[in-house]
Amino acid sequence: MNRLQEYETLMTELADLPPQLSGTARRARARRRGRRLGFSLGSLGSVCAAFVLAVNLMPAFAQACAGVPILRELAAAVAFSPSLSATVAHGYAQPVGQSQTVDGVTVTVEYVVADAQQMEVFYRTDGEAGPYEVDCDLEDLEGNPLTGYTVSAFTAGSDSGDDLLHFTVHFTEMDVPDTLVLQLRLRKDDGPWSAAPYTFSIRIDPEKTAKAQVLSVGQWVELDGQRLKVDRLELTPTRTALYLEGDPDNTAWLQDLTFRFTGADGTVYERVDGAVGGVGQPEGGVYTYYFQSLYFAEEALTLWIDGAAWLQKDAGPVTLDLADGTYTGTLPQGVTCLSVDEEEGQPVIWVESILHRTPFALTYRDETGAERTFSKLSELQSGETRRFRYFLEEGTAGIVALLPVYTSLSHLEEPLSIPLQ
Amino acid sequence: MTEWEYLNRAEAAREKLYRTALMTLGSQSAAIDAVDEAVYKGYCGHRKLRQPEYFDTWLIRILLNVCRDELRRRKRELAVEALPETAQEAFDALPLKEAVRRLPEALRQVVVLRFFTGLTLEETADALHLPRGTVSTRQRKALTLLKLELSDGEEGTP
Repeated sequence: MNRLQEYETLMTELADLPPQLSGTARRARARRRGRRLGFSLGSLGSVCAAFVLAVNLMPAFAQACAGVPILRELAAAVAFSPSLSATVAHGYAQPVGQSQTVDGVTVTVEYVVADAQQMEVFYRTDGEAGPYEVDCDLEDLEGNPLTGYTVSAFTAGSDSGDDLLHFTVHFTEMDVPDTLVLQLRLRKDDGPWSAAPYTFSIRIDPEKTAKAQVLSVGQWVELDGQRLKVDRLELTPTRTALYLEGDPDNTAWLQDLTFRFTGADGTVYERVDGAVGGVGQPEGGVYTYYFQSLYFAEEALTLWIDGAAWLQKDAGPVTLDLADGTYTGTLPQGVTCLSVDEEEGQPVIWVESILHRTPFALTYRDETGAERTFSKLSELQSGETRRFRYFLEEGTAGIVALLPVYTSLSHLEEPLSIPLQ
Repeated sequence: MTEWEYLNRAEAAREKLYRTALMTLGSQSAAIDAVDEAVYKGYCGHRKLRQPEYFDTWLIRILLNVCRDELRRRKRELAVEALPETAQEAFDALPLKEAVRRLPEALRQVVVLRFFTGLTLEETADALHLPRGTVSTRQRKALTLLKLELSDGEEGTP
């Protein structure tokens, strides 16, 4: 066989794609999501604290639910969230009651609470003691994978299996469909995921959902020398979405916004009680922030903007020499020290800041310009100082480029107020 | 680039990615792992991709980086070395697939992207951050060493 024949044979071989390659993009998304879940488990304590607080602050709701056994249990499960509590109290919970057993562990999906863009799934595990980490993929009824959503969970399971647990499916690029299939997988202690998925077909009851109410605003405001248009609010039973646009002539991208709402009677709404705080494409100048639901608030509202985080459009990366710790570029506001240490033979970047805000992105560029991802990020607090440790990918050496998440922060002495009609 | 766009385009690019990884690493399982890793890394950074028209070359660049790391790891464990450009007889004695893998990295990347992944000269130059002329020169050298006479009509192709 000559080289050309060899080449043709080889190309024929290469045209045969192994079946394991199918779904590589979905695996990437699931893996990323797994990492996110890992971080969020740390907030379990604060969720429990919120649970106790909410039950005590909402006696009327607790009393209303107390006489109905299933609602009583659901009320306890959603007590950490004023939005979900109000949603359940107004009758938007839809019973499901489907169970499936895989590897000796039974999962029962008890309820879903859905509106136009978000679905809360309440379930319990029974069998081998937890806690479990949960992952979820969505398909349509024909088995086609759905895309354009993220899944978040505060708790991954309990030891007893008695508690009602939940996770949130947040649809970013489509509305919650009328019918869908949940493909759940569980795992314990970073072990293997369940051999087969738990499959649940869900039909969203239109009687148990509510359409979004849109409140048009269309008002421009100036903040830190940048112009922002408060475009509109979308109110649904489970959350509020605030849509903003930046002026193309702005010199900085909006990275974060601190805001709250007040009612005419002085009620203050200042919680981001959902799993997702904000999404959007900052570099497209369009921003969306999610907030506790104002759907059931009956009084006239005012939006208050208290501050913002900005990233200068011309901000370059901070380049750091891992060999001697010297760097060039401008550090984000509040960062007081940038240095390099070594742990187990690998360089680790230490960043000290007086602000509770992650200063650099989770991706960085190595010496060749290739984009890499930090293998781990940890945050320690010592007095007023925050210490962030960025663990580099194995084998990274030389000079790396760190990408600032923000360059400046503001806190307004006199907040901007925007009355909403 | 949105998550939806990324997932769809990454899934569509997997054939190109797989061919690139297989010709670089040699084994099917290593190639699948490398594609998975590259697609994951791409997923982590897809929102920063400013020019979606360069999606394929961007993702291939990430994949080449993953493959390079894997080859470095293997080099420590298995001591597999590339052959020097002067070892013409040794190249002749090897099957094509193995001969490609034993090319010096700079030549191997060009020949893999051009004739197995299916990138144009321009795309290859972009993926490797090299001038077009350098890609042309390396392509000629690689094909000469492999004794492979291929032409797709592009400038600089023998």
